[in-house]
Amino acid sequence: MVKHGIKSLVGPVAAGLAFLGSFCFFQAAYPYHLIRREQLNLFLYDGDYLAETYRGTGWLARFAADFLEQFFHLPVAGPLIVALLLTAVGWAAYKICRHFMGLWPSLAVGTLFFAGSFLRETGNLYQTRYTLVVLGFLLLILLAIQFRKTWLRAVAAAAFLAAGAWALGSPYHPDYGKLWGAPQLDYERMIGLDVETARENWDKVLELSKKDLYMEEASYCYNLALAMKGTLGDKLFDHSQNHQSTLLFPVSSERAVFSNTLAGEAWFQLGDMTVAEQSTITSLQASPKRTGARFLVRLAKVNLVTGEDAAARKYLDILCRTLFYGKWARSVMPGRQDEATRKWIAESRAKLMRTDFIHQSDDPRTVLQALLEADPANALAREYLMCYHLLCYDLDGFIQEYAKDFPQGRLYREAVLIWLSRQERLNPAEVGRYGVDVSEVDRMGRFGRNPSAFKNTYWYYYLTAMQEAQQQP
Amino acid sequence: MRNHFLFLWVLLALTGCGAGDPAPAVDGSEGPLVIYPDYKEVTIPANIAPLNFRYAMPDVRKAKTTFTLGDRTVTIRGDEVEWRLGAWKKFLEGAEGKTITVTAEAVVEGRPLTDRWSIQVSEDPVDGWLTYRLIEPSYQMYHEVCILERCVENFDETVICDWRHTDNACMNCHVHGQSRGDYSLYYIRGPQGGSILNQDGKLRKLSLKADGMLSATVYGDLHPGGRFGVFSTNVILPSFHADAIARMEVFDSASDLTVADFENNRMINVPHVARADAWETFPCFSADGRSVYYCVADTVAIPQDIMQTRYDLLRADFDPETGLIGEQVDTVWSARANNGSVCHPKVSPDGRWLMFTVADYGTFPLFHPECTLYLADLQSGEIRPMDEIKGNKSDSYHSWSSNSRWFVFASKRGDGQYGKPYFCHLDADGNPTKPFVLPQKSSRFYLYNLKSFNVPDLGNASTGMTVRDARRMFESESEIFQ
Repeated sequence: MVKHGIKSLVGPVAAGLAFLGSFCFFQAAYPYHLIRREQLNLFLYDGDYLAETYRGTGWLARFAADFLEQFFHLPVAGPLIVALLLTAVGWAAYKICRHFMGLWPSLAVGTLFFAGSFLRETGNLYQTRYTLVVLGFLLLILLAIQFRKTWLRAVAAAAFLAAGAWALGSPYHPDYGKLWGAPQLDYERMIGLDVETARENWDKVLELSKKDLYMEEASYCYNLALAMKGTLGDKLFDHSQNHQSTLLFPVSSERAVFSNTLAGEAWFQLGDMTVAEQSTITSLQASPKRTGARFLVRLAKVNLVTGEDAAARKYLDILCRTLFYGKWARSVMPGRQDEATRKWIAESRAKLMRTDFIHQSDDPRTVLQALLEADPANALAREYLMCYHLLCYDLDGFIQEYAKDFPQGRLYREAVLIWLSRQERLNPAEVGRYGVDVSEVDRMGRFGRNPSAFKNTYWYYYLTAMQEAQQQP
Repeated sequence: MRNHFLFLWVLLALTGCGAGDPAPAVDGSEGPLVIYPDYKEVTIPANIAPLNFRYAMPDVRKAKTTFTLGDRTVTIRGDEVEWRLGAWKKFLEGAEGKTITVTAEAVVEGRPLTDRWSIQVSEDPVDGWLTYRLIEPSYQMYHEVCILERCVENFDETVICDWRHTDNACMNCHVHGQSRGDYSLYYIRGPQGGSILNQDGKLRKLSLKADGMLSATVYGDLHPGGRFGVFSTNVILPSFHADAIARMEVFDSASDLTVADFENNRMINVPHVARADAWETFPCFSADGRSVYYCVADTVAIPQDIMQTRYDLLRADFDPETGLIGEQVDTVWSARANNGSVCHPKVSPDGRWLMFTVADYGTFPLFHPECTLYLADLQSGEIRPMDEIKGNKSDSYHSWSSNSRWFVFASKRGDGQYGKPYFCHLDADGNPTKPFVLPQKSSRFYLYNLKSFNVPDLGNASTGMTVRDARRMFESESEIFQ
């Protein structure tokens, strides 16, 4: 009796453990994976849209998956839903097997289905749809085997499978529903960087990027977060910089989609809305479903700033019909904006370039200068321009900007001393005239005696480049 | 299809998360009741698909729209005015030359409003098939591109070529020769690509590139005789404008003209349309095939002087026996004299009209709000801007119906971002009517659509091409041109 009682608990306990394990994994170790999936999804509460979007083979799976994925926007909801689905897959497989075999073999099969689905879910571009398809087919089989007569069971199975093939489609896709996946924690951090950069959570960006600063994308996000916090002039060389390549990214067909997506973030903050818009459209174009609420939000913002109200209204009206972006969309709709939105638009619009010229986003200097010409108070553009000069070893260009009002920043002071030294004007009067404390000269002296103790200085960056230049034939 | 969603509606209703009360998304019509798409006071062909629209105003209730044509009356209730195809066709039977009167009433934000407008049904039918490429308005990269053919008499759409059947290759737009459905050409790009020529339903894959040419062929036109095609070869560079509203600029760093001889598989290159000090582009044949119209600009330093690039419109003789473009040229429209730049000249199939686009500068007017369609009367020599049909954003890439009484063009009017095909009637004196956008089954289609209709091109019959043909062509060897 007791043995039977224990046996009856095995299934529920296994299901509970599976649910808890998968929930904890996606909540604690893999949170951005599901958030990004929501960002690339769009589910509209509109009859025409639903009828047009969800038709043809697999309509039910696509519909259900998109409906569920919208909730990944909420904290905890994504891991909760995915854990439930995965557990349901294992449970359904177990229940089917129990019709034909004993407890432990059934449990093994259920576990295999759960584990396989779990690993698939961790795939980079995986979509919830494919787990739903597996679950859907298992439930149909489970339903079919409820019939007692063998012939009826066979007929039901065939009918259900045909219906499933129509409504659910294939459980496999070469890109978005691979048979096999494995968690990639470094990729998860990269996705996290992208997510948090878009959310403008700069402290989180700094925290997430620290492990991967050797990677271009992480370095770029780290620099952007520093600039947004106003500390780029102090901390630019806290990690190794690959010249100017990770300060600002161009949007180009020759670069990866991920890089093009990130590129727009800095340009949006700086005020170049053309590049920001193209970055977003390029990202939208390359996203699995060719859409994404996140991108529509950015496109709406870009067009609000540029004053293209008709375009902004187009994107906002789409977002109005979503569950989680509707309130925001209605609050910023042209003609109905609140005070805070009007203020943000006015501030952003002040940054727009006043003179028109053509560029390919691969020469940030010209664009940054034009941004500053349009709005000398654009502190972010100023900081980026000065750091760009420093990274390019262009001290004359740097001094032109610096000399306007001697902005704060340890690296700027270090660069001033190098520039004065090259001008043979490194004396207390000149140092003071450029707003640098004389104690910095002493620190420079200490650097000269032991450069490797000052790796986070501009002096070290500059010296390394000079040494490399001397070593070249 | 919507019946399948019955239980899903219940699910949605349970979530209690409807759309609320969104504002109108697009700039609709004028008048007390704003409709989108704007089908007020338009002239339509009798063979067009139903003009479905919606009332683009907040909080529209009790809407009632009545269409009257002679003794026929149809009333549609609701804020989305969507016809059944059969009912629309029956309503329009014998309507050529007549006027439809539309009366509308609705309660908008608690206020009762009425409106009335008319729709003129032309005696001239429009060609029934329209091809276009659907793309995001991105000019940096391509991904999952397709070319489609839409029957404008209903809502049927056929994919001619798509990324699935071409290993995600890029493809460029499909153009008809003299608006003929059985005579057309499109490109599949990439190593396995080629120019897919459709002649009387027979498909050929051609490699239209010979030694000394700048690139494979890009823009072009097919000769009425069927033996030749005239093309430009271009080195194209996409760039950004600092001015956010101007968005993108695409320009050539080099471009020449060339002629393809489809019978002898050879490219005919002559130096006077491949000059190093000039950029020649956008060639097209006259209706009789004895002239070539094309655009040409003096080279400038790019990108810094791109805003000084201005293209003239020239005409040169074309010898249909040899395929040679004559050296003697006439200036049809001078960029210098008119302070503008010409793109996309196209001659009407009856040879009477020449239509082209004029922008302030450059060769890519897709984001130039000033760009305007011009009409040249080739009988009288009169040239005039068609200001009466100009939108607030770019109008470009027009195409003629085979009867020369209709043309379609891509316009970004409204949102400024997404090109949509607009139809316009031209009477015997060259007077255009108010353009109307390609009707869609759903009145909300343009609200959700995030793709541009790129190079809409009219054909008098279906091309008959399918994606299976595209795959077959993609896998076949290209015919080499010398």
